[in-house]
Amino acid sequence: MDIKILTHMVEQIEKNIPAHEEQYLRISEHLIKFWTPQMRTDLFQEVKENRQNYSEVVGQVVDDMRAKAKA
Amino acid sequence: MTLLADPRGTMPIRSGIGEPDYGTPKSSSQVMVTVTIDGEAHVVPEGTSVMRAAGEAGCSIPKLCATDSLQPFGSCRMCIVEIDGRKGTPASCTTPVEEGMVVRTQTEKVAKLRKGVMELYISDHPLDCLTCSANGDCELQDMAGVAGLREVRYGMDGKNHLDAPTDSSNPYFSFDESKCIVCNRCVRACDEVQGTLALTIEGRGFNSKVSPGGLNFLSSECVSCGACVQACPTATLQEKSVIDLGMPTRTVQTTCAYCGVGCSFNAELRGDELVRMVPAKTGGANEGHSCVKGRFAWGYASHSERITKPMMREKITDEWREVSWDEAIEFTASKLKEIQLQYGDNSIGGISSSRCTNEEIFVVQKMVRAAFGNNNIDTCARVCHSPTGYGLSTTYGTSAGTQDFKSVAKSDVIVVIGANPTDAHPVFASRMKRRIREGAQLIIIDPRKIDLVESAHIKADYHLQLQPGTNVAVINAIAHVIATEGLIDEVFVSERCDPGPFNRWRKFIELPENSPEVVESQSGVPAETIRQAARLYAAGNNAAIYYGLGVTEHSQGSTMVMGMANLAMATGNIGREGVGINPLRGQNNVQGACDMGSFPHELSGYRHVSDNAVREQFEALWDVKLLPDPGMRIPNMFDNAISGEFRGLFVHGEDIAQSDPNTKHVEKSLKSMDLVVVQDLFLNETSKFAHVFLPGTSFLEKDGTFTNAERRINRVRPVMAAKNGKQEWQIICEIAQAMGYDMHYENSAQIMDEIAQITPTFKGISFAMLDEVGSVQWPCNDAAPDGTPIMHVDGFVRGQGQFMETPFVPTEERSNRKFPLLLTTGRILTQYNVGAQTRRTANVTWHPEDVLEIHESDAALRGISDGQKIAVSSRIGETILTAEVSDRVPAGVVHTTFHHPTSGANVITTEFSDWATNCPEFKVTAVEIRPADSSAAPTNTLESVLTKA
Amino acid sequence: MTKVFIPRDSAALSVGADEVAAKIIKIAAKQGLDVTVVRTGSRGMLFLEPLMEVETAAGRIGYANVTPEMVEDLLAAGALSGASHASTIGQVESHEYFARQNRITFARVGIIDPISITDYEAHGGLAGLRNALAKTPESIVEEVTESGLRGRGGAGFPAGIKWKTVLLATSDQKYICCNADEGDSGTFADRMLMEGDPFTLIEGMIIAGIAVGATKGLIYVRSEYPHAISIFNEAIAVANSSGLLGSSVLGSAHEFNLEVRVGAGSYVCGEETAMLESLEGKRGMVRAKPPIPALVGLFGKPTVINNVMTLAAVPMILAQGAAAYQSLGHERSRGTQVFQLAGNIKQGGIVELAFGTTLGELVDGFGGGTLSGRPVKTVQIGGPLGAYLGKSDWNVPMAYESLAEVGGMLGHGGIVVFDDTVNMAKQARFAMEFCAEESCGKCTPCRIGSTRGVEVIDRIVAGEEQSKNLELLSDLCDVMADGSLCAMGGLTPLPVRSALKLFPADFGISVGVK
Repeated sequence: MDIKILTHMVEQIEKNIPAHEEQYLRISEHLIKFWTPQMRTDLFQEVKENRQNYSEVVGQVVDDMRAKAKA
Repeated sequence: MTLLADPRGTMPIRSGIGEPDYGTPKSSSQVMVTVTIDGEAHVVPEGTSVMRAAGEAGCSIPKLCATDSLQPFGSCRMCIVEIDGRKGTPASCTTPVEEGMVVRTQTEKVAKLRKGVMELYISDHPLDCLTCSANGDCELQDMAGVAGLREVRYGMDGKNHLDAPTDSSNPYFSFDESKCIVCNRCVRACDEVQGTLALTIEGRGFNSKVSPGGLNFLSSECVSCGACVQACPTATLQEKSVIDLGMPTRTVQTTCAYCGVGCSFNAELRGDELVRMVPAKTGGANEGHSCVKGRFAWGYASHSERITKPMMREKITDEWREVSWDEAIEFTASKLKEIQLQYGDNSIGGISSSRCTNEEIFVVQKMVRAAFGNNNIDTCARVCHSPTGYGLSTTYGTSAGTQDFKSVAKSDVIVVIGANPTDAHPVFASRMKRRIREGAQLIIIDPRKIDLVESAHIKADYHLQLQPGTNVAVINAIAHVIATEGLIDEVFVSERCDPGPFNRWRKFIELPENSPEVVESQSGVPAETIRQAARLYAAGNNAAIYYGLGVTEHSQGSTMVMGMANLAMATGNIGREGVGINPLRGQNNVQGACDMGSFPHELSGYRHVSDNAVREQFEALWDVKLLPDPGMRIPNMFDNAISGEFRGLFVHGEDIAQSDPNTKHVEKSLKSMDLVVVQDLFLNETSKFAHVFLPGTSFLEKDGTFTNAERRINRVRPVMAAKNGKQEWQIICEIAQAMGYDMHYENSAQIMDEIAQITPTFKGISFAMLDEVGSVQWPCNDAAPDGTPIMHVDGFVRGQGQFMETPFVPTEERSNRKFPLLLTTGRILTQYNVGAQTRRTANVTWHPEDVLEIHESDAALRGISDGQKIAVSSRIGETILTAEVSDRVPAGVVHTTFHHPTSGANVITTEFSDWATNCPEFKVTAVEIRPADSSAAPTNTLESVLTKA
Repeated sequence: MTKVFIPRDSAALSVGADEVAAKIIKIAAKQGLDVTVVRTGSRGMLFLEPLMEVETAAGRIGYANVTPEMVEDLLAAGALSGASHASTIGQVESHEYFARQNRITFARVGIIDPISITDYEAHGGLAGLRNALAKTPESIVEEVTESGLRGRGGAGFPAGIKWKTVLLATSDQKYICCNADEGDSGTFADRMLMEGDPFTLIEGMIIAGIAVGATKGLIYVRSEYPHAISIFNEAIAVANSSGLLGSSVLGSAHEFNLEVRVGAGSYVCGEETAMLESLEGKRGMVRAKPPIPALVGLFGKPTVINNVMTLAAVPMILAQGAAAYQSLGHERSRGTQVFQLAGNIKQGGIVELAFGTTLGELVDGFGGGTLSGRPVKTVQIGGPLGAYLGKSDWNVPMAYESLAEVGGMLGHGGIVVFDDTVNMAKQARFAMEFCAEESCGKCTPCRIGSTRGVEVIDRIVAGEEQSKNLELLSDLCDVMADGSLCAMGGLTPLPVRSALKLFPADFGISVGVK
C-alpha cells in the first residue's frame, strides 16, 4: 500500500486518541487489532527510514511495537 | 331476551386469507377481570374491550369500523351488544370490560338493530359483489351475511354515492369512493399508525367523504405507506395488483429486504404469483405497519432486467456471454487460485453484503477465511455503521443498539442525531411520531431541516442545526453542560462504570474548550440552545438517542458514537425501556453482516481473530487453519489493488462503484484487478468492471434470516422459486469446493445451526425455534432463552461501562474559497440506497432523479434558480444535478441523494474516512456550484470516466 | 344627572336599540340635558324591545317598543323623570311578565352594565366566589352537589357528581369548558346572559376551576353570536385587569385563565365531545364514550364540560348556600329553569321560574298565545330534535322526569310555538333533513338514516305503499334512536314519532302507527 496513505492513517489515529499515559498503548493496540501485518510492516519500515517525518508519539509507538515483536 | 342460535362460527374473525382481527388493540394490563359473554365466563386483562374479549373467547361480534391496529371509534354501530344493568345497546368496541360484567352479544334486539344498520349501509353501496375486486375479502360482504340482510327496503333509488369517481393517481392503489362506507379506518390509520395525517373526512352528514386533501392521492401529503389500504374493509382502497390479478389464495410470512427496520410481511400469492405484500401484525419490528418500499416496491424481483444466468468475459471491454453454472464456478475458482499462486495468498478477498441473509453472509466469510485462506473479508457495513461497532463495543462491550423498537413508546425525551427516520426508517419513524404526539419532547441534531423538525402534529423542541462535521464538538458541549451543571447521574456512574476512565473523561469534558460558548463558533449552534437541549436530555425521565449515518459517516464517526455512549452513561440513560443508544441501520441486514464475522478482524459474534481459544474452535469445526491477524478492509483492498498487491475480488450483492466514495479511485482499483466476480440481481456500476457475473436471488426467493437494527432475527422465507436456479449459499459453497475446500450444507437451516453452534450469542437460535416464536433478539442463549430486547440491564456486556475521551478533531475537508459550500448526502422515502431495486419500480413516480438542495441565498449568489441544471464540483470530481432551492438546508450547506447512478454523487465525495474504522466521510465534501451551461462540460462525471474505461 | 338604560342585547339591537340610544344622546346634547345612557342587557321581555328604562326615585320606569322617531316626543313628554307616555309600562320590575318570575341566574341581566365589574359587585356579584375561596375544593363540590344543580345542556346530569369526578382525577392539567354553542331553535338564554351579565358566567367558571383544580377555562361560542363574543371578550379583559382572572384570583393562591373559542357553524359541535374535538382544532366529530370527558377530555385531560346556564347558576349557590337553591323546584329537578319562549308567540322572551310550572302557564300565561292569534296546534320543546307536545300536555309539570314521561324532553328550555296552520309531516321531514344536514357523519344510523328518513317520509306523504313505509320508518326510528352514537341521531326520531302520533292526518294517513 502507498505509504502516504498509511502515514495519513496513523496520524489520524494519533490525533484522535488523547494524549495521556495510555496513548501509546492504545495506538499500538489499534494497529494490532485493525491493521494487516503487511500494513504494520510497511509503516515500521518507513518510520525506521524516515523518522523525521513522524511525530514523537508515532516514532515511540513503532519502537515499542518492534521491540515487543522481537521479544 | 331470546338468544339466537349459537353464533360461533357464523362470524369470521378474519376476512379472506388475512390475519385474525380482534377489533381493538390488546390490553397490556396485568390486572385480570372476569366477564360473562353469552353465558360463559372469560378472564381477560383490564382495559380489554367487550369486542376483543368476545373475539378471543370465540364468539366474535360483528364490526366494520373496528380493527385491532386502531383505537376504537364506535361509528359503524354493528358491534352493539346488551349488557346487564346498562341502558340501551352500547358499542362493544368502545366499552371496556368490567369485573362481573354480563354481556349478551346475540339478542333479538341487537340482531334487529344490526340488520337495520346493514340495510342502511347497503342502501348506499354498489351491488356488484360478484365483479368486485374485494369479493371474498370484504368485511361489508361478510357482515351483510352475518346480519342476515335479505332485502334493502329503502330501494336503490335514494340519494347515494354510486356515481362517485375513482382516484387512480397513486401507482399502487386506487380509491373507489363509490364503495366507501365512511368507517374512517383509513383516516385513523393515517393518523394513528402512520402519523402523516394526510387523510381527512370532508363534508358533514350524508356528504361526509374521505379526502386526501388537494387534487388526488398522488398530489397529496400521502406517503403511500399502505396503512389506509390495509385498514379499508371494502374495495374502496385496493391494491391495483389485486384488481389486476385477483384475490390471493395463500400467504407466506417473510421479512422485507429494504431498510434496517426489518418489517415482517405476509406475501400473499395466487398460485405462484405474488399479488401483494401485507405487513404482518405479528411482526415484532413493525407490528402491522409498512412503508411505500416494503409494501409496494417489490416488483423489481420480476423485472425484465434481472439476470438469471451466469455470465463471463475475458476482458471488461468484451461483451458478456452466458455460460453454465459449472463453467462460471470452475472459472472463478481456478482464476482465484491462479492469482493466489502468482501473487500470494493475500492477493484476493471478498466483500459480503448487508442485503443478504445471515446464512449467505456466514458462508461468504467462511469461504474467504477457509477456502481463500486469508482474512480479506469486509462488508458494506464498512461504509455505513462500522463506527457503531467500534464505538459501542469500546464503551459498552457490544456492537449493537441497546433497545428494541418498542422502547421508544416509553421515552420522554427523544434525541435524533444525523438520521432522517421519516424518509429512511419510516416504519420506526411512525412509532417515534406516535410517542411525540403523546407528548415526548424532541431534540434534533442535524444540519438539515428534516421532516421531524416540523410536520403534522410534530415539532422539535430544539433543532441544533450544526455545520456538517461538527457533531463531536456539539456532543461534547452537551456533555460539558451536564458535567458542569451537576446533572451527572452520580449513582449510576459509580455503580455501573469504570471510575478511572470516568474521572479522566470528566476532567476532559469540563475543559473550557468543550463549553457551548466555544463550540458555538465551531458548530454555529447558539450556546444557549445547546445548554437547554443538554438540560432537557439530562432532566428528562427517560431519554433515548437515535442516530444514523449522519453520525458515522464522518472522519470522527467513531468518536461521535463514543460521545453519545458517554452521554447515556453520564445521565443513567441505559439499561431499561425508553432510553439507550440506537443506531438506525441503513440496510436490512447490516446488523447481521457484522454479527456473522464479515469484518476482517472479527469472527462471528465479534470475537477477534487473534483470540486463540476462539480461533481453535473454528479451526476444529471447519477443519482448516485460520490466520490470527486482521485482513484488509475495503479501502485497503482498493489501495492495494492500485499498488498491484491485491488482484482478485468477490463482490457479493453490493454496488461498490456507485455506493463507495471517490468513484474514480474505486474504478481505478477495479480496473487494476485480474478478476472481479460480482454476484447480484442486475448488472450494475461494479459489474462494468467484472469478469464473472453470478446471478443472485431476490429476497422473495431466499431462505434464511435477516437481523434488524434492534438485533431481531427474522425469518426470510422463499415466496417463489429461485429465478437463477440456485440459492446463493449454494453458489458460494460450490466455489469453495472448486477451490478445494469442502463446504457443504443440505439447506440453509444447517448453516444457522452451525452459526448457533460456534457463536455464543446465537446459541439458542434455529429455524425451528424462529418458526415457532416468530422472531428473537440476540443474545439468545442459555442465559436468555427468549432473547434480549433491552441490553445492559443489570450490567454492561464488558462489565463496567467505559467512558472514553472524545477530542474534537475537525475534518481536513474544509470549505475554502475554491469550494465554499459543504455537501452532505442523505436519503429519500421512496428510493433505497443506490436505487437498484426502487428505480425498477413505480417509486420513480415520486423521485425520478436526484436533486441538489441549495439555500436561497447561495442559489441567488450564483444565479441559480429552482429546477436548473447545475454542475457540482469538489477537488475530486464533478457531476451534474438539478437544483432545488430549499429552506431545508442552511446557507453554506447543500444536500443530495445518491439513488440514481447518473447523479454520480460519489464522483465528488472524498477519500477521507473515520480515523478508527475507515468509514468514508460521505457527509462532508467541500464543493462549488455553478449553472451547468455556464462553462465547459465537466471532466470527471461517471459517464466520462466510463467512456474512457 | 339622569340615567337612561338602553339594552345592547342582540335582540334589542335587531329592532333598533342602537339607533334609539344614539338619538337620545344626540337630542340630550342638543337640548343640554344631563343624561347618561347606560347600555345594559335585556330584561328578556323581547316583545317590549327596544325597552328604554329611566332611573327615577320610584325605580326604573320603562318605555316599550321605542323607535328613534319617538325619542324627541318621549323626552318632551318628560320621560326623563318617569312621566307617563303612551309607551310607558310603568315600573319595569312590577311588570306582570317580570314580577312573576324567580330571577336567580338572570338576576342582574338587563339591570347592570355588563362590563362594569363595580356594577356587578354592587348587585351581589363575586359573593359566591369569595365564599368559594374560603372553602376547600371538596366542600365547594359538596355545596354544588347538595344544591341539586343539574346540567342545563339537556341531559340533566348532576353537576356536583361531574365535578367530583374531575376533582378526584389526577393530572398535571385540567380544564373547564363552557358549552355556549347554543344551537337549538328557540333558545337564546346563553346569549342573553353573556351579553347581559358575563361576569356571572366568568365567576361560575372560576368557582368550577377552584373546585376541581383546573387553571384553564375555555368558552366555546357559536360564530352566530358576534355581540356575545365581543361583550364576553370585553368582560374577560376587565376581569384580567382587575385581578379576577389571572395567576392570582382575587389575590388568592388560585390561578384561572379564560379564553373564548368561536365555533364554525356546526350544530353537532354543541354535543360535548364534538365540541372538545373542535376546541382541539379538529373536525367536530363526536367521540365515543367511555372514556368520559371528566376523565379524558380536552387534549386528553380531565375536563368539566357544563352549559352556560349550569355554570351561571353556581355563583348564586355559593353565595346563598345549597339549601336556598335546593328549596326551589320539582321532584328531582331543583332550582330554576330559564325558559325561552319563541316561535309563533305573542310575548316571546325569557321566563325564569322554578321547575314545576306547566306548559300551559308558560305558553298561555306568559306567552299570551300565538302571535298570529290562531289556536296553538303544538309546541316543540328542547330544540329541533325535541318532541312535539299538544294541548293534552298543557298541565305536565315542566321538569326533567315528568316531561320524559310524556315522551318529551326539556333540553335547553326553549319552547317553540306553532299555530294550527303548521303541517306536521313537513315538520317531521324537517327533523330528518336537519339531522342529515347537521350530522357529523360519524355513525351510520345518523349519517345514512337521516337521509333515508327524508325519503321514506316523502313516500308516505305521497301515498306510496304507506303501511310498508310506515313500518320502515318505525324500524328506522328504532335504529336511529337505539343505534346512534350521540343524541343527534338518537333524538331525531322524537319529533318524527311525536308528530306522526299526534297528527297522522298531516301525513295523509288516517291510522296511527304502532
